[in-house]
Amino acid sequence: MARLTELAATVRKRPALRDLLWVLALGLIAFWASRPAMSGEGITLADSQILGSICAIMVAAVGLNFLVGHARLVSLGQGAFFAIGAYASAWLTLDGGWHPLLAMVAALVIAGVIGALLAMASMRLRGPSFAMITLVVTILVERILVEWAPLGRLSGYPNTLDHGSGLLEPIKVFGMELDPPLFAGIPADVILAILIVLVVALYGYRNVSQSSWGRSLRAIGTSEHLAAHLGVNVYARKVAAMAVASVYGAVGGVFYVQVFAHLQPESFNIYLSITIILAVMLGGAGTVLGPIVGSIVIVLLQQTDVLQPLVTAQKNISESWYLSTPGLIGLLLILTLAVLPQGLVGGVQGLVHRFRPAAVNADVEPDAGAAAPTAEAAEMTEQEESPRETSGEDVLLTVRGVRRMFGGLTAVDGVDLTVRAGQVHALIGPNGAGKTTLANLITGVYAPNEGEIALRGQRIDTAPTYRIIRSGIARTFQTPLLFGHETVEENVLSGFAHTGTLPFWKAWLKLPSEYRRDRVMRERTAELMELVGLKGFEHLEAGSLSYGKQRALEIARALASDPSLLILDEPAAGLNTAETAELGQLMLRLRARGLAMIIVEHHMELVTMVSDEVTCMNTGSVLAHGKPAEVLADPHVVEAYLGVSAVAEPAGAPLERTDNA
Amino acid sequence: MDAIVSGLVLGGLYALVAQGFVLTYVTSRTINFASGEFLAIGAFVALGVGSWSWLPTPGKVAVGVVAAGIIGAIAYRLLVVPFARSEHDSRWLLSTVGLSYVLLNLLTHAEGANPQKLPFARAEGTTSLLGVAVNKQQLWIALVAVLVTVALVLGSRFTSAGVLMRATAEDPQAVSLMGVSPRRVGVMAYALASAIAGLAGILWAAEVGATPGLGVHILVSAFAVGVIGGLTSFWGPLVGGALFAVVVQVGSYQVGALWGQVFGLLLVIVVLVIRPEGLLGRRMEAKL
Amino acid sequence: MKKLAIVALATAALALSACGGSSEGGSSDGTVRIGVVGPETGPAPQYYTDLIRPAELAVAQLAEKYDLKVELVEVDDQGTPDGASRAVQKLLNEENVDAILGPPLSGNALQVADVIQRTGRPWLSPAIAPEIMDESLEQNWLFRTNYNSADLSEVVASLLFADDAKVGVVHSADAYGQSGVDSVKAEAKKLGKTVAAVEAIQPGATDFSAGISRLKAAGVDSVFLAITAGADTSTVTKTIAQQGLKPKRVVTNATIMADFAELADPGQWENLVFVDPRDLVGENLATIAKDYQAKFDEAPILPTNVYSVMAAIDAYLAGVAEAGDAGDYDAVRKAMEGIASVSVGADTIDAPFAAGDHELYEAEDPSAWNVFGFNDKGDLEMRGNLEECLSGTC
Repeated sequence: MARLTELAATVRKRPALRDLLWVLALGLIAFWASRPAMSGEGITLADSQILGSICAIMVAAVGLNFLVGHARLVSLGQGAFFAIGAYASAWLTLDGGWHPLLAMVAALVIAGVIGALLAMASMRLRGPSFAMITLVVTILVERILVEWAPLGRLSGYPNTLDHGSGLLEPIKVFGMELDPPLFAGIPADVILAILIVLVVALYGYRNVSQSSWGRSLRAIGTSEHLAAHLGVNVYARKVAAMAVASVYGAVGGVFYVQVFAHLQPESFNIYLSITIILAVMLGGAGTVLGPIVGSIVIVLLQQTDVLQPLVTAQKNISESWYLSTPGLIGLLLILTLAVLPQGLVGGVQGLVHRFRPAAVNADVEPDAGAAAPTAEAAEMTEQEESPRETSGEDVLLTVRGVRRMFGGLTAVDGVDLTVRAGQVHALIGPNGAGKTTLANLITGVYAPNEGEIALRGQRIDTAPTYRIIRSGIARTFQTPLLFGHETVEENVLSGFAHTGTLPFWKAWLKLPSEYRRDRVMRERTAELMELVGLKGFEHLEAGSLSYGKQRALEIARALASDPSLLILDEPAAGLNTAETAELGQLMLRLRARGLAMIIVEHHMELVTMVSDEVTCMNTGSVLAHGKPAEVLADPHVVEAYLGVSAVAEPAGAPLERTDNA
Repeated sequence: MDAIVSGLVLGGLYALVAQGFVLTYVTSRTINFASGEFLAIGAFVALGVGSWSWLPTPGKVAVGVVAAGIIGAIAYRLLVVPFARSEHDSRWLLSTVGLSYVLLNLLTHAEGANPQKLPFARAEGTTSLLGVAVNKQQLWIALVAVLVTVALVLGSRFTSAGVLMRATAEDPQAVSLMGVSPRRVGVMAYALASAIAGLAGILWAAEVGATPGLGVHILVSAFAVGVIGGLTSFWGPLVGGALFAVVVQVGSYQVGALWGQVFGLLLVIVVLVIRPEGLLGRRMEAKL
Repeated sequence: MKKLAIVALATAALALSACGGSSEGGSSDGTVRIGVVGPETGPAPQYYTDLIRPAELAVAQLAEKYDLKVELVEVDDQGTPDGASRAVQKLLNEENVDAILGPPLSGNALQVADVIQRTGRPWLSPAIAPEIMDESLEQNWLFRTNYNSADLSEVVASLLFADDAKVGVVHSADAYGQSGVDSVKAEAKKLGKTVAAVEAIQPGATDFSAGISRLKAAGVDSVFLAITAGADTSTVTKTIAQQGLKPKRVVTNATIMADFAELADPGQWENLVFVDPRDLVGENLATIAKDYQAKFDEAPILPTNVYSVMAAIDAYLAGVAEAGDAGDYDAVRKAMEGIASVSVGADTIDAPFAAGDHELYEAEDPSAWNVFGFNDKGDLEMRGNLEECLSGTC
C-alpha cells in the first residue's frame, strides 16, 4: 500500500511518465475495444458501428470543447464541420480520384479554412448571437447537401445511379484494406485504424488543453479583457481555436464515412450538432475527460436500448403520455445541468476538490505564518533574483498629452505622466477621475484620441494590448479576474508570456522542450506564490480564496510574465488592515528588486508607504503631481476628495498645479 | 411586387413568434429555445377545448393562450432561472433545448405526428392586397403581429409592469434595489412571451392543422427575424420580419422556392457580421 | 521505457483476446423470423405504426394459410440512416432473421440497400424510391410490394401531357420527391416533351406562393405533385387556388390520403386526381381497414402502406411455403420469383415477380392503374382506370 502511494507520488512528480501512462491506458482501452470488431463475427457488427459512432462523436466533441468548454463560445455548428469532413473526404476519394489519405487530409484542411473564415466573420459575437450564426451555418450546410447534385442529394453518396454502388470501397492504406463493420465474416479493421487516429487526436487534445495554449482559451472564456492582458492576441487565438475545433469536427465526419461507407444528408441535420454539444456538456465542458466520457454516455443512451426499461415503465402508467429516448435525453440533460452543472466529470472532480482543500488546509492552518511570506523566503527569492538596474533616473514610461473621449464625455484630458525605472508611481483621485481609463489607455484597451504613450522610448499608443503586454507591462484589475474554478497554480501559470506566444503545433505535440519549459514555469510559480504569500494554497480553487488572497494571486500572475512595469488597479480595495500592510511590504520588496509600478489607489497610507511619486487626477486631468507628502497635503487634492472647499484662498493653487504638471 | 407583398404578409407570423424572444431577451438576457413547442401547446390546448360548444371562439383561443403562458412561466422558474446565474452562465440555452426535446417527444406520443384540424379561429380563403392575392389567415396573423407590437410598445411605456420591464432591461441591479425581484419581471416576460407563442400557434394551426412539430419549421425563421431586427427592440421583429420574409420571397420568386430561405439565412449572417446587435438593437457596451 | 510499454500492451492484448466470446445463433425449430425495421421513435412514427401493425395483421391471417410458425422481430431505426444501419445489422447477425421488412423511409432504405443486397437475405420493402432497387444485380434480394415512383411517373406522364398541356412539377425536398421529378423528366423525354417548370417545397413550409407563381409564369396548366406529406400537398393546392393558377388537372399519388382531406378546403381538390394501382375505394380495402380498426382500435393512418405490407408478407410466406425452408435464403428468393400470385385480403395479383422483375406493379398497362379524386363532400371516389381517363371516358 505504501509502495503504491509512493508510486503514485512518483507519477505525479514526473509529467512525462504521467502522460505516457495516460496514452498507454487509452491505447489499451482502444485495443480492447477494437477486439470484437477485429473478429469479423456478425454479432459484433451493430456494436462496432456504435463504437464507430462513439469515436466520431468523441473526436468532434473534444474539438468542440476548445470552443464551448474553454473559450465559452457556444457553437451549434460542429455538425456542419462533421458533414464537411464526411462529404469532402468521400467526394475527393471517389469522384476526385485522390488517394484516400490525401482526400482525408484535404477534407480536414477545407473544414479548417471554412471554420477560420466563419470565425473571422463572427468573432465580435458572443453568447446567443454566436450560437445563432453557427446554427445558420449548420442549416445552410444541410441545405447544400440536400440540393447540390454532385453530392448525390437525397439519393445519398455514393448512390447506385451515379456510381453503380451505394457503398464506398474500403480504403487501402499501406497495402492494408480497411473494411467497415458492414459484413459478417470480414474483420472490421477500419475500427482499429479509427481508434489509433482517435488516440492520437485525444493525445494532442489533452496536451493542448493542459498547455498554455489551452490556458489562453480559458482566459478568453473568462474575459477577453483578461486574455489580452495576458499577452494573448484574442482575435487570432479565437480564429485558431475555431479552425482547430472545425478540423476535429471534420475528423469525426471522416470516421463516420469510414464506418458506414454511405452518406445520407438526413444524418447531418441540426440534431447532430446538438448531440455533439450534449456530449460536451453532459461529460463536463472545460474538463479534459468530460467530452470523452460524455460522448460515450450520449451515444450509448441514444443508440442502444438502455433507456427502454424506463419507457416501458412509463407506458405501464400511460399509453399516450410518456417519454421515449429523445425525450428522456432531454430530461437527462436538464437534470445534469441542475445537479452536475460542471458535467459528470466536472462533478466528480468537484467532489475530489472538496476533499483536497481540507487536507491542504490541515497542513497549512496550524502554521499561520506559512501563509504570510517569511522574511527568509523573501530574502531567498531576492537572492535568486539578480536585481535589475535601478537608476531612478531612467525613464520607463512616458504619457504625454493624452486625451480620450467617450461620446461627448472627455474621460482623460491631456494627461502627462512619467514612470521611472524601479519607482512606484501612485495615481490617486476621486471616483470617475479617469484613473482606470488612463490605465486602460496605457495597456492599449483604448487608443488615445490625442497624445502619445511610450515605453522605453518606443511608442505603444497604437499597439494592441497583447503587444503592449509582451513588451513588458503587466496589470491587475479593480475586481479580480481569475479562473474561479481552477487551482491557484493554474491561475499563476496563465500569467507567463507562454500563454500568448506558444504556437499551437508545439502545444499539440508536447515535445521534450515543452516538458522542460513546463517544469521551469512550475518552479517559478512556486517562487511567486511564496513571494505573495500563497504557499500551500497551490491546489485550492481560486474562487474559494479570500478577497485578499485573490488580489495576491492576481499579483503573482502578473509577475509571472516578468514585467518591467506593473500596473495595480486598486490593489487594497476590500482588504483589511493587516492584509493592506502585507501588500505594502510586498510592493516594497518588488520595488527593491527593480520593478516599476503604477498603483491606482484610494488608500492613502499605502500610497504614502510605497510610492515615490504621486499624481492626482480629477475629472480627467491632472490636478497635482509630486512627492507623496506634497500632493496629499495639497488643498485642491483634499477638496477633490472631500468634495468641499478646503482651500481658504484658491488663488495660488493654479500656479502650483502648473508647476507640478 | 407579388414577392414583396407576400413577404410582408408572411413576415407577420415570424415577427409574432420573434416578439417573444425580444420580451425574454430584454428582461433576462435569455431566449427560450423551446418556443416552437409552445406554438404546439397553444394549438393542442385550444384543440382540446374545441369541443366545449358553450365556449365562444375567443374563449377557446384564450384558454390556449393562457395555458401556454402559464407553462412558460413555470418553465422560466424551473429551467431558466437556475441556469442563468451570471453573464457567463449559458446553461439556459441547453436547458431550454432539453425542454424542447421533452415537449416534442411527449406531444408526439400523446397526439401523434399527423396534423389535426383546428376548426375555428380561421379566416378561410384568399383576399387581395394591393392587387396581390394573399392568404387571409396569414394577413390576419400579420395584423395580430402589428397589434401585439403596438400593445407591447404602449404597455412598456405606460403601464407599471411595462416600466418595470424596461427598467430591468436597463439595469437589473437597480430594479432589485428598488425592492422588485428581476425574477418576477422575468416570470412576467416569459408568461407573456409564451402566451404570444401560443397565440401564434393557434392561429397558424387553424390554417395548417395542429402537429407537435408545428413550431419546428417556424422557429429557425423566427430566430432569424429576431436577430435581424434586434433582440432589444419591440419594433425589431416587425422590421426584421418584413426584411427577412421579403428577401426570402424575392429569392423564392426569382431563383426557386427552395432557395429563398437560403438567402434569408445569408442575410442573417450579413447582419450578424456587420451589426451584431441587429438593425434596431442597441449596442450593449461591454463592461470591462 | 517505450519498449516496456509495448510489451505491456502486447501482454494485455493477449489476456483480453482470451476472453472474447462468440456464438452463432438462429432458430432451427422451423419458426419463420421476419425482421421489421422502422422509425418507432423519431419524428415520423406513423411510418413504423403502419409497418408493424399490418405485418401483425397479415401474419395472424396468413400463418395458418401457409401452415407456418411466424415470428416478427422488431427493431427501431430511430428514423435515422445510421440507426437503420445498426438495426439491419442486428436483424441480420444477432437476431438471424430470415427476411427483412422495411425500413419504410426512403433515406434509411438507401443507407442499408447495398448491405442487405450483398449479405443476401430476402428483403421486402414498401419504400417507393426507385434507387433502392438495383435490378442489374445478378441476385436481387429486394422485392418491392409498392409501386416505385419511376413507374408512377411513367403512367402519370401520359395523363399529364395529354392534350399538349404544359406540365409543371412540384416535389418535396426529400428522396421520394427527388426521384419523382427525375422520373417525370425522363418520361417527358421519351414522349418528346419537356417539363416547363420544377419547384421544390421544403417539408412543413409556411408559404408556397413563390413556387406557384413561378409555375404560373411558366404557363403551366397541368401539375404533378411528388410530395411526401399530405399536409404539404394541402399547402400547395391551397396556394394553387390562391394564386389563381387554374390548371386543367393536378395529378398526384396516394400519399395524399394521409392528411389532405382533413386539412384541405373543397376548392383545393377541384381538378385534382391521383393515381394508384390499387382499388382504394373498393370493398377489400374497407374490410382491411375494418380488421385493422378491430385489432388496433384506430383507423389506418396510411392505408396504402398497410396494403403494401400485407402484400409483402403474403409474397414472402408464399415463397417460404414453396421453398420449404425459410433458412435456405436462395431457395426462398427463387421461389418468390416464381410464385403464382400475391393476395391481399380478397385481391390477387397474378404472376407478381419474375427473375428480372422484383416490382409488384408495372407501368406498362395503363388499365391496371386507377384514377381517384374527391367528391364535393371530400370523400374519396374512383373515376375509372387510367386508360379510360386518357380516352376521356372518366
